[in-house]
Order: sequence, then structure tokens, then C-alpha cells
Amino acid sequence: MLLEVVNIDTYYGDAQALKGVSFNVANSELVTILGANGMGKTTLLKTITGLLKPKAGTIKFYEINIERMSTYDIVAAGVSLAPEGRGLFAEMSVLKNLLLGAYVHRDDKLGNKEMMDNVFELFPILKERQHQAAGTLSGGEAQMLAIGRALMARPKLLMLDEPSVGLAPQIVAHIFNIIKDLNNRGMTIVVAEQNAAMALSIAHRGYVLETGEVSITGEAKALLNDDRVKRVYIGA
Amino acid sequence: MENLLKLYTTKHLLFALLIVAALVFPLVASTYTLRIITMCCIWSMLAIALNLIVGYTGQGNLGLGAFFGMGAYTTGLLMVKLGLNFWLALIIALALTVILAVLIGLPTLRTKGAYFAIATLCFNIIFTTVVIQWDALTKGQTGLMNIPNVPAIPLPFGGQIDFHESLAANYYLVLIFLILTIVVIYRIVNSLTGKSFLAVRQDEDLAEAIGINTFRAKLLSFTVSAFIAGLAGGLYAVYLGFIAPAITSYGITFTAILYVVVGGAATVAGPIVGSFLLTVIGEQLTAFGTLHLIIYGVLVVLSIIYLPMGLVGAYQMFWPQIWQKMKRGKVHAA
Repeated sequence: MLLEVVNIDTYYGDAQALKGVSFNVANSELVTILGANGMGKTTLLKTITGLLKPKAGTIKFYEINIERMSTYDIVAAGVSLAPEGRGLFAEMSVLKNLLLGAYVHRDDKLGNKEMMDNVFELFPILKERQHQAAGTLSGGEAQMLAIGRALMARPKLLMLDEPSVGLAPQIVAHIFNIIKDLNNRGMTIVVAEQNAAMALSIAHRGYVLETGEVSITGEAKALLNDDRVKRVYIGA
Repeated sequence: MENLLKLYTTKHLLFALLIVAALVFPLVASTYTLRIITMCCIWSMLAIALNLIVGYTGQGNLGLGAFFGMGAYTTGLLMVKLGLNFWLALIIALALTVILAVLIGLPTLRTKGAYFAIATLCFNIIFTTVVIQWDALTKGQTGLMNIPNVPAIPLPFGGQIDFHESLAANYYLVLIFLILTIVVIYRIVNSLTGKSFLAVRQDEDLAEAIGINTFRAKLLSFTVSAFIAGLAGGLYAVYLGFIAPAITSYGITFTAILYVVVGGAATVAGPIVGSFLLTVIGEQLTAFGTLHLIIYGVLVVLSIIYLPMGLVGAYQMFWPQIWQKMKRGKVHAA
């Protein structure tokens, strides 16, 4: 397993947000975490990247325990997160946002240049907009920048928190096509989503989080046909 | 792209011209003007230091006066009490300033926003109190007098640069350090490390999330800032030959904040423009006697209301637009 999360409990002060969540991702897999608002998707991603520390449980990345490591060490180890709401440095240019994504590789200028070219190839619009302030981008472009910046860290595991939120359907489809394409090229990806139909259409496996616990898990195809998933998340 | 290239070369040309002007300046300036401009250079360095931690990194450090004072007093004391020459004294003073900065930065940078400002302000007040009270060492309120000049530098073709007689020699000394500081700061803010400072200012949580060690970034910025302030302090001590506890106080920091705000925070040129402008204006206003501080205050308030990004900030904001319009105008004319 590339990533193995076992029985983690995460709290915000006294409030328990994750209850014994176990979750794993194999190499080159595309896994989705489904669930409505406030069910713990973001908390799970933040716990994996070390922004929140679990009170109990273990997280292994390449067989190494990372649950007590700092975020910058985890990013350097190869876990990269594109945060919810496309957190960008709005006043900085697209170029600077991308460069900051490569902060953990700041001594390797040549490698960063190469990675930047890859990102521009993946998202040509970012190349056009490179000198624009990130705050002036459209929703879709901003999401592309968030993914591009996460890629600049040269991750072995890319995690995307709600890439579809607030975007028009055809733009969501475009973004998900790119996510699938990245996965086809061998990138291991975790996508947290409310848009279950869209996420399951590209994922290999899925987990459904309900009030901080994994309620359903399985192959994406099985989940798409699961009555409970259909009823609650797809609305069929 | 071509436009950008043009802008960059204009910038470099302007910098080169300014340096030439600064170099020939003592030939044409009166003693009085030269004295003021030398002080402007020292205040510029302090303002640059403040701009790094406050403007670029967004940490409201109100303790910079203590580091300026640390540089000044350590340099002065080592020269007066131990008879060390200026260069050795300055190097030791800077080393001690850096150590102090790390010791103060480690606990205070764990706090954020107003708490950090209060913590550093408290540190500064304690520092000044120690300088005043430690009479046996610092001569307290009387101040430390008769700090020797920089030792004369012999020239290879005979003769020497004498810092005792020549005001110009002192001016050049300060100027060289100011230019070095500008070059270092320019390189820092254009590096990925410098961008990580800006990232911390804009959104510390996000900076952390994308893998920036935000505490290390803040400590680095804080320490480099203290180093530059200490350097400015050391030059101040040797240039004036006299230092008093007031130069270690938080008042020094607030003066530097004014320079940075009026000139333009988070720009390389801003603190320098602000320091020169306000020092020169302040000097002209002394003709108004006690009224001068009031007029000075009004000017500063007006500039904050109408130019919140400072002079250089406003220039950077509006110049590209004016430039575009001018170009379009030319096309139309043709």
C-alpha cells in the first residue's frame, strides 16, 4: 500500500471529527472520498498532510509512519494537497503561486523549470495567464492552478479537496478528465467530492464518510449501483 | 515580454544612475546636506530591515529598535571599553545581535498578530530599561561618548582614507553598506525563500498546507531583519561617536514604520524613498519650531489616507496602466 490510514481519531478541541477511520490507497490508484458537507472529508485530508494531528491511530506512507510528522516533511516526502476552496495566494501572479508549490524543491531550479513546463502543457491556459494575479482567474482556471501548484511539489500522492465546488458542469467535466488523465499516466490520486456521480465515474474505489465514520466502501462501480449511495448522493 | 524586458532594463539603468549620482554627490554637496544624507542612508537600512519582517513577512515586529540599539551599543562599548577597532567590534556586535534575535524570535514568533507585536514591544522596553539602568557598563542616560572613528584605511598608492577628518569618507562607508544591503534584500525577495515570506503574510495556513515551514521562514526573516538593523546601529554609533538609550527605544521602530508606510511596504525601493523623503522634509520643517512635528504628522496621515500602498506601491500599481495608455496614444497618433 502507498498510503495506509488505520483507525484514526481526529478532534477539533473536544469535538471528535473522525472516528476510527481506516483508509488506504494503492500505487497508481484513483480513490474518492464521498460525503456531504461536514462529514469529515477535509478533516481526513488535513490529518493525512499533518495539518491536524490524530489523537489515535496510525498513518503510513511507503511503510513509514507520518502521523506525527510536520506538514513540510510530509509534502517533501511526496504527499501534496490542493486545498478546499482552491486556496490560492490571490495577490500573487500565477507564476509565483506555481513556484511556491515547488518550495520543497527550491534548490533544484532546473527540475522546477521542467515541472513548470509539464504543468503548462497540462493546463495551457495557465501559461497564458502566468503574469496575472491569481485572484483574477475564473473558477475553473483557479482550480487548474491549485492542481498545478500541488503538482509542482512532484507528489507521489496527489490529494484534491472538492475540485468541483462552485464550477459549471462542463468545466467540472473538463477538470475531471484531466484528473483521470493524470491517473492514467501513473499518478496516485485521492479526490474528496460531494459530486458522487462524477467522482465515481473516474475512480477505481470509493469511501463514503458519514459523521466522521466510513459507512460504505468498495469498488466505484459497485458504489454507483449501491442503493444507499444512489439514494443519498446521486439522487436517483 | 518585450515590455517587461524594457521595464527591467529601465529599472537597472535607473539604479546605476542613482549609484553614480550618490558617488559624485559629496563633490557638490554642502557639509550640512552631506550630514543629512548620511543619516538618510542609515535610516534607510533600518527601514529596509523593518520592511523585511513587517512588509514582506507580515509579522508586526515592534522590537526592531532593540536590535538597532544592540548593534550600536555593542559596537560602541567594544570600541570604548576594550579598545577594539571598528571592524572587529562590528563583526562581534553583529554576531551577538543575531544570537539575541534567535533567542527572542524563538519564543515570540510562536505568537501571532497583535500578540506578537505586544511581545516584541515588551522585549524592546525591557532592553531599553536595561541599557538605562546598567549604568556601570552603558553610562545610563548620560549616553556613551567618544566612540572612536573608523581606523584610517591606507591606500596602495600612498596616502590613506581618513575617517576622522573627512565627512565624505564616512558618507561613502555608510553608502557602501546601504548598497550591499539593497543588493542582498533584492536577491532575497526575488528568491523562492522571499516568496515564501510573502506567502506567510498573505495566508499562513495555506503556506503551511503547501509545504512551507512557516516558523522557519518567520525566524529567518526576523533574524536577517535584526542583522540589518544591528548593522545600521553599528554604523550610527561610529558615525556620530555618541549614543544614548533613546536610540534603542521602540520610538525608533515607529519612525521606521512611518518611512516604510509612506515609501511603500513590501517593495524594495519603498523604505529608501520613505526614509530620504521624510528625513529631508523633517529637516526642512524644523524652521517652523515646535509646529514642525504637527505638520509632519499631518503629512504622514494624508499620505496614508491617499496613498495606502505608499509612493512606490502606487507607482507600481499605476505606472503599467499609464505606460499602456501612452503606448496606445502613440499608436493612435501614428
